[in-house]
Amino acid sequence: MSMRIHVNIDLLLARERMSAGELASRVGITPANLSILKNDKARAIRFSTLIALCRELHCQPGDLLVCEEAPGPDDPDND
Amino acid sequence: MNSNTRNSALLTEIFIYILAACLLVLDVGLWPLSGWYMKIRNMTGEGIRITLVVILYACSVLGWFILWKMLRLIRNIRKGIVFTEQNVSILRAVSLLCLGVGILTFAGGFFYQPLFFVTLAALFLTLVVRVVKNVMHKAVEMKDELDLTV
Repeated sequence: MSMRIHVNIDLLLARERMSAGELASRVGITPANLSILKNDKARAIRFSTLIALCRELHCQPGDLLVCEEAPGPDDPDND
Repeated sequence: MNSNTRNSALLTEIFIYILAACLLVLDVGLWPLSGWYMKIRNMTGEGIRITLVVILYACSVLGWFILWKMLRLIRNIRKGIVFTEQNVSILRAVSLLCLGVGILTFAGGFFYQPLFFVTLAALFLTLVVRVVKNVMHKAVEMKDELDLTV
C-alpha cells in the first residue's frame, strides 16, 4: 500500500473564509505553486512556506499535512 | 541566461557551423584527398583506397547526424531549455553515433591499421558523452524535484 501526503488547504481556506489567491499573496508564493500544493503534486515543502501557511491559516503543520493512502491508478481522483 | 553564457552558446553554435563546413569540404574532396594521402604515405592499391573512402563516407554520415544533434542541443540551451528529457535523448544519440564511428573505424583498422587510433578516440568520446548524459539525466530528476518544491 503506497502512502502520500495530502495538503488540507481547501478545508483550512474554507474555515478561514479566504480565497486561494489571497493566501498565495499573503504567503508569498505564486498561485501556480499553491495549486501544486492543493492538488497534492508537490514533492517537498520548505519550512519557510510551511510556517507562512500555518501563520495565515492559524493552524499547526499537523492540521495542514495529512498522511493517507494514495489513490489507485483507476481512481477518478487520481489525475 | 547572462550575456557571458549567451555568447558562449553562440560561439559553440558558430563552431558547429565551422565543423559542418569542414565536413562538407571533406565530403566533396574525399576522393582526391585520399589519392593525395596515399601518394605521400607511399601506399598502393585501389582496393584499400576504395575501402578507406567508403569507411570515411560512412563516418561522415554519422558525423552529420552528430552535428545536427549538437545543433539542436545548443539551440535548446540558447532558448533556456537545458535540463529536459529531450536533451538527455540527444546526448544518448550522440554517444551512440560516436560508438558507431568507433565500430566503423575498428572495421577499417583491419585494412588500414592507423584507424585503430581513431577507434580509440571515438570510444573515449563515447565514454565522455555518456557520462555527460548520465549527469544530465540526474540533473533532470533534480530539476523536477525542485520545480515541485513549494
